[in-house]
Amino acid sequence: MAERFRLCIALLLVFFSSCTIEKRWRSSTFLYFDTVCELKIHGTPDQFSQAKEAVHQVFSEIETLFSPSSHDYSSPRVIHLFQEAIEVHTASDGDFDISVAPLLKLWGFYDRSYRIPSSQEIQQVVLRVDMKKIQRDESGIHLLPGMELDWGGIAKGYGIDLASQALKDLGISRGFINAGGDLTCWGANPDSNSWQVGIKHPRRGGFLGVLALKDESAATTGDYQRFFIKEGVRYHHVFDPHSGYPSRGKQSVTIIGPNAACCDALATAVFISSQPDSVLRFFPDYGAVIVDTEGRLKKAGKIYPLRPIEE
Amino acid sequence: MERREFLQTVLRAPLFAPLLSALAIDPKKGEIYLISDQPQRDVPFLLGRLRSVVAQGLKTFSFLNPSLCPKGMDTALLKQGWTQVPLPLRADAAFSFHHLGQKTPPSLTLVREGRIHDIRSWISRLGPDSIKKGSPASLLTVVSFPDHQIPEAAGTRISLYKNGEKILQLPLDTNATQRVPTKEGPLIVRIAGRKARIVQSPCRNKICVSTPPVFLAGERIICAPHHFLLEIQGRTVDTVIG
Repeated sequence: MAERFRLCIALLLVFFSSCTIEKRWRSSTFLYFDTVCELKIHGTPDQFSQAKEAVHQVFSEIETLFSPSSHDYSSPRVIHLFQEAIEVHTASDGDFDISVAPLLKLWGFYDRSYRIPSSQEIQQVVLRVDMKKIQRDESGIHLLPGMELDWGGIAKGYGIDLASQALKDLGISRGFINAGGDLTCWGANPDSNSWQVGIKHPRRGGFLGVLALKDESAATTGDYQRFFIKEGVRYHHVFDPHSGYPSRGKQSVTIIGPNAACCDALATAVFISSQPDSVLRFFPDYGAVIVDTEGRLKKAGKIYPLRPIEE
Repeated sequence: MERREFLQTVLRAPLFAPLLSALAIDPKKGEIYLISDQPQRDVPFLLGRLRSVVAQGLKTFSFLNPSLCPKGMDTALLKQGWTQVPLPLRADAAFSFHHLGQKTPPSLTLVREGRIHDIRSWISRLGPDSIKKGSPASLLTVVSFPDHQIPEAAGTRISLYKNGEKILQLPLDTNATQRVPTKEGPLIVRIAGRKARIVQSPCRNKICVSTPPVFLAGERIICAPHHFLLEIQGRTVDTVIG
């Protein structure tokens, strides 16, 4: 009798202990890259702790390594990301260019002085902008005097790729990481469907449409993310490296595809380029949702379904 | 080992603590409705007091309608260690402000998992003076702790709950008037132009009637004295980019 009683208690303990380590949805928000980052995963408490730690570690490293003040050009990560950037630079005929930092500085986007420089000033600075002039060898990348790099168009996506791989290595099979609008998601959402991802409308509140993503990444570049207005004209932060002026022709570009760093870079490239289809021809697994200056929506590249919003 | 000693050993086992914690209601599903003309003073105070129940581990806030936000509200929250984030990135706590158009007695209501809890008496021992002294006010502040769902903008249907039980569901795209009888008189819900409102209520202060029409998925109107909750429902998204 006593033995049977102890056995019941032991079985109850095993049952309850399995309840306390059940997998359920857990999320956390934190601040990196000057923006809010969101992590949501389906896992046990231990997995969630490890996931948060892994994301913090990766984001912290990427934020330091690719900050405007960092000049570590020999790190393997820097060399790797530079290579990815060069591919998008070449595919976009130079429209995507991480050496635009002098332009951002000239127009006051770094110190928030926001000014309109003279055409002579712009012409002088444009001479220092061209990724093709950067030398590469086994020891790292080498900039010419006066050149500076802005990794803002690709580093966040790279951080997300590294972080999500770390989480998959922990056995987390469902979740997403959203770093200020750059996103990667994998597995099914809490309703066991594709992840429902709203794309912010570039001009009004609410969404442009809703993507259904399963194991994909997405990133958006828009003229509403960082800008100033002078005498009724909007000057945003996405510079055409050829002209030295903010690019014109689009309000926003969202890129969907398998790799977040590539989505990040292509979003900028397609935003600047006058020939999005030509750019995306080199990246057949990637598609674009484009809003032009008139607010008209069109797609390019691989078609990813976009559910429109009824207002 | 004696049975008594065995039981004592089991009950002291560390497994039971996480078990009891797991059985606790998730404190983050809910909303606080506060009627007070000084929410910039009262809300941070209340969140600080309620931290262990509804605000534990929450860090970020945003304002759904910043144009109606009382002056100093953001500063007061920042001083408490909160971080402000822009919409539509999901904040841990979302604040919205509504002018009721009339002075009503102050109140403090917690809506959690569809159930309405009048927590004035609970908080009155610790609450701010405006709640204790009963100064009439005309500003309603709603603090939402969204359960990880972001509305897609316009909702598609309304649901009416009484004591947490759904008693009515109507599509939002069809004009309708629905009467719900109560002992003290009917509660009447009207849908017009894809918006819903309460047009008649048996309650004394008619705060629910004064609440502006709702139409976005996730928006709510509550009648605390009669435990009615009207909610706009619709499709939601998991996260937002852009």
